Amino acid sequence: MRKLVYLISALLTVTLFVQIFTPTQKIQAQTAKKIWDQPYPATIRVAVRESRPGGEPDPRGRILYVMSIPFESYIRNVLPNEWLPSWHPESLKAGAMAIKMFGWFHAYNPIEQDNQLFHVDNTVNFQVYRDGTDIPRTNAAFDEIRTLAYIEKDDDLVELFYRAGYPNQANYQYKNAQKMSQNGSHFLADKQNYNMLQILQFYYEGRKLIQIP
Amino acid sequence: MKWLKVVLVLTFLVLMPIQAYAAPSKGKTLPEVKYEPGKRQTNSPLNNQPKVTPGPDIPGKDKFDIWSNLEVQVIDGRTKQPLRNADVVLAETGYRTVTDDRGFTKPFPAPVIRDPRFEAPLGRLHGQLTLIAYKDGYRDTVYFNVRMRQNMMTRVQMWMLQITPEDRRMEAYVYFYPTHHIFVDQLVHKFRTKDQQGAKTEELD
Repeated sequence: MRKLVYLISALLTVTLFVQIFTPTQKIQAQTAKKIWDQPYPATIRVAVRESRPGGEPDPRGRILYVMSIPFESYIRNVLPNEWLPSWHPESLKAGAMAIKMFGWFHAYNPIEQDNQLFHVDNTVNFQVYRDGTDIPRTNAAFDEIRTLAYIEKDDDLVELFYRAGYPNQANYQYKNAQKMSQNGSHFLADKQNYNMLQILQFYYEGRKLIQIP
Repeated sequence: MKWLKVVLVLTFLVLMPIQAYAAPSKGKTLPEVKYEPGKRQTNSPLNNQPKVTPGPDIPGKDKFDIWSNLEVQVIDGRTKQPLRNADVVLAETGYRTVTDDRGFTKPFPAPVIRDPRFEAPLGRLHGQLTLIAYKDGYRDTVYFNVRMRQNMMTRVQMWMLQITPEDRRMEAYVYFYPTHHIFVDQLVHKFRTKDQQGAKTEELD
């Protein structure tokens, strides 16, 4: 019995040394923001805001209701409303990527307003969403980037911001602000022959293109 | 059986140091993929579609010079289910067609009418048409400002509302197809003077 106690004590001591001298990961209190902690969303909750009859939904309007819709259906019905469908295919693909990453980020960062819990609304507060507006050309652009994601070099999932910008120019001021210019994306693709990745790299620095894990 | 407790304690103690290796190793990130735009098939919707020439069955074929394909889907506005055998009429040409089991019409040629009030490139967005849908048991539906796009197929989803006993006046349900906000942005930008009051440049914070 005494031998057994010695043996256990010795093992505990050895274990203690191993614990002390083996490098372990530093424990940090942080929110999950790596892409592997936030898998590709299946659905997204969209708040529908009120509008005047015949008018656009008001970004400051009352929330009428919140609907849960498939995430990919959301992207397909945002792209033709945010990018002009006649624009260059590479511009549409850059747009599809920005819309996807923006929605993906917000699907894990819900908002509560007027007693309603939602991820995005249907106005320019987030991204303009209209049910049943997807068209074959923009759907094909999304299909070509469906398995890809554009994230930080250290795998952090971040939202990709974008604004309209000015037509017929690259909008360098947006590059400095780490936001994509929608008009600029078409200009770069159409006039400067940039592809989707080059457009994304032009506006967002320090990111990488990956296959969705 | 006598030694089971000891074996269990020893196993636990031996495994304890191994837990240190269970955590993911530091510095390993997902690999970057190489992007290749690639070649897509010639019939991909991303490529410009071949020029559309209306056949003899299309009314007004000599009236307009630019044509593109239009496909309409008619659904029940409440249940979101497709409606078959709904009559769809393009008011500008008078062309009539019906929907199939999925609520879709066959793609048909429709004119891309440039609005002479707007110069290019703004004018290119305006090929605005009027669609009417009829079906027994449903209110007639009119879609104004349907935006036709050149060199690609345009698809429009029309909602129809079923007539209920509460409905007293059977008037048509009207929907104004929304204007694209990039077009609106370009329109206001085109005519804004440098000292114009208004939104001016966007905040880029």
